[in-house]
Amino acid sequence: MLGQKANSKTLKKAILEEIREDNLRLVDPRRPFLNTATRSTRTKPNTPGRFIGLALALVAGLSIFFLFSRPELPLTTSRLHSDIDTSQQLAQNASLPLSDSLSTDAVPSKEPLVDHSKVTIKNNQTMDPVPPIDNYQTTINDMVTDPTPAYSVDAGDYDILINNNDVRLTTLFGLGVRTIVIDPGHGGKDPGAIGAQGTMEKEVTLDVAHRLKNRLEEKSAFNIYLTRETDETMSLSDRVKFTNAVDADLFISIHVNSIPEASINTIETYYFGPPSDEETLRLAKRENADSMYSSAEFKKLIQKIGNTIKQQESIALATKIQRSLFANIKKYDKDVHNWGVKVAPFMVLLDVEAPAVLSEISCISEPEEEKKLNTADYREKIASFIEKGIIAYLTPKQVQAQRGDKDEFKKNG
Amino acid sequence: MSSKKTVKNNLIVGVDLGTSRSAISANTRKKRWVDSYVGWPKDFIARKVVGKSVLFGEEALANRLSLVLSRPLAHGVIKEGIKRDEEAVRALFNHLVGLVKAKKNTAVRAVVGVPAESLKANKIAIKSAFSEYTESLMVVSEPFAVAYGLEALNNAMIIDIGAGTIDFCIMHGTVPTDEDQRTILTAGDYIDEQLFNALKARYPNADFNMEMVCQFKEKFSFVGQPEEPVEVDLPVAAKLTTHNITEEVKNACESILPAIIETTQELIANFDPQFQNKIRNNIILAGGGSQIKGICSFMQKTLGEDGPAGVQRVKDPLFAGADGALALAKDMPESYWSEE
Repeated sequence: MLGQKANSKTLKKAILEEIREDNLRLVDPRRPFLNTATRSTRTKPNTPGRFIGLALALVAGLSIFFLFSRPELPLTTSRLHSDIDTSQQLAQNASLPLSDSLSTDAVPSKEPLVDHSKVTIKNNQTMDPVPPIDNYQTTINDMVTDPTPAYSVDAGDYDILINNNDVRLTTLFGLGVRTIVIDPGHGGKDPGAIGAQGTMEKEVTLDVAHRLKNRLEEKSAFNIYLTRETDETMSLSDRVKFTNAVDADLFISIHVNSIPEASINTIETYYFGPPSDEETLRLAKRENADSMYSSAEFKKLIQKIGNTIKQQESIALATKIQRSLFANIKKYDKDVHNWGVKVAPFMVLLDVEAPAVLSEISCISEPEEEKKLNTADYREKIASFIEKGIIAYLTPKQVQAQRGDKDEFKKNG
Repeated sequence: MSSKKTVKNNLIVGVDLGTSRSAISANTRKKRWVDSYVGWPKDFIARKVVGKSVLFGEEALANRLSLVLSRPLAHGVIKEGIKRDEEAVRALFNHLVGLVKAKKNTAVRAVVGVPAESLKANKIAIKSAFSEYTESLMVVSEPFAVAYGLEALNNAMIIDIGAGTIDFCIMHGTVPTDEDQRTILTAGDYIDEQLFNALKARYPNADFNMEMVCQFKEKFSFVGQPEEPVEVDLPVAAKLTTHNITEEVKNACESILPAIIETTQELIANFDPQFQNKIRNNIILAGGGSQIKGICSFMQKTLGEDGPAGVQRVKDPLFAGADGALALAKDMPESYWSEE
């Protein structure tokens, strides 16, 4: 097999060009990929029905809900071998050709080379417990999902550590935040929700996102990116690709709710999980409309939900943003409803590798609220409230990272 | 932009920055390596004792009591936010270049290998940290550099077993994407910890430290059946006593195997079914961990349960990454460098 040395000048040239592009992209993350076709030469065949994602995705989401409700079931069926010793013969492999720079110690032997009974693999990949969702009319203290079960960590047991929400793993490992991606919902051909006075969700989200970006850039050394800078159509999968390409550490998607059947103003913030109720399902259906994911891709993506760090941090970030938004907007609208931190199967939250939240910052169907959303001053205020939430999320994180104080998370939620 | 004359006189280097050891290969055919340690004298007395303002590698280790010692490349990348470590890695790079540099003012072009799944922030950190010492620099995935050096660019898998990380990379005729690469952290340092704990448990009265354990590993590591008993002399109440550590070495070395096998199987399973056999038949082990006796046989046998498998190791694990990075650097067209 080593006779397959690639001497093709063309291949080498293409590879060198890609390396140059990758390095240039380090400096300029918006630089387009040179040749997408070349980069994705993993030629696993595409599953049929690539663009029928949403309906199947929701069905899969409901299935996951049942999995969540049975935590004893492992999430994945990865190929974990508890006993990797079998008696298969490998005579055909024993005579591999060798190059000058390679050697092998593989010699056919009748005796087992390793006492495989001593080589074991633990299956650690189980579902993260999803906190229960409170009903809508809760107070701010009640509504915050509590991710801190009351049991302690045995430092010597990684199983317990990984499955224990008592410790934020980013804190434990001192992981920092450098890059934040803000995602203005909808855009271009997709206006999102439209208020009675014609205000479009896509305009509000873009403006608030720009204001938030400016605020964060003024006061911090973070790299801040918007998934869309202008009024342009952008699929959810493209937003996700962009976010992952810039190696985001946090992802915040901004949306505006619409509930025409009730004249209320609401604020709610989501992280990824199974739908908790009909209303959430409705919202997810609306926000997932342009996801462009296939059902096969969705199934693959759903396996990532066991990512403890992302889940923990998403909950913490959602909590801080929701708290800040509600506590501050309540000063301007005493009747605003706090719908709290919730879980929903938003596609854009699932495939982003960083902790990700989706915030419904307002409700455009409420006439008075729509009027306010049309003022730059109010949009600036909303941006500042989200900013406060982000800073609140980051601040205790830095303190914890320095002090190694696990209890800080309990105090700060 | 460099003139042709400058190009001719450029020093081109490939660098493998490792948690444990760092290596450099140059177009002048010089090769050097150092243990990835950097130390600064603690005070003016220490400065007088060691006679230098900064020490590297073995020399730094030997004088560690007089030094503020840094092992800056945790998992092969710059530890973020720790200025001392950032300074250390810069000094280490400069030291490596100095070891192969003939003339002081020669312009340096470098390709640096980093772990497969290094964060972009770390790649940027490396680029900026070394910019003052180089005219131009590119960062590539470490296992990819190994593959390039071996010209194993198609239907091959490189597994680079280092101290801080084990990097996996499937080569299929193009630059590997994130999907083609994995990094796991149960690597050489993990073996050291396992061995240290096992020896402490079995021989509680014996006196030894982690550095000694690391030396035992490098000298005796094996999986499977031992060729001969592993015996070492350890002080017990200041008296050297022979201890048999065969089982402990075996168990510590085998502790990294499940994760290696599982990750290898996962990467292969995600690949096009028509090419899975070819990949499984062309697995190349690199890095210091590839020198563990019996590891090729073990992997070949275990992976062979899924289909025909072939596992080999590079002959020069210390320089395979640096040599590959150098090959890349030498092949890089002139215009690509000038854009950097």
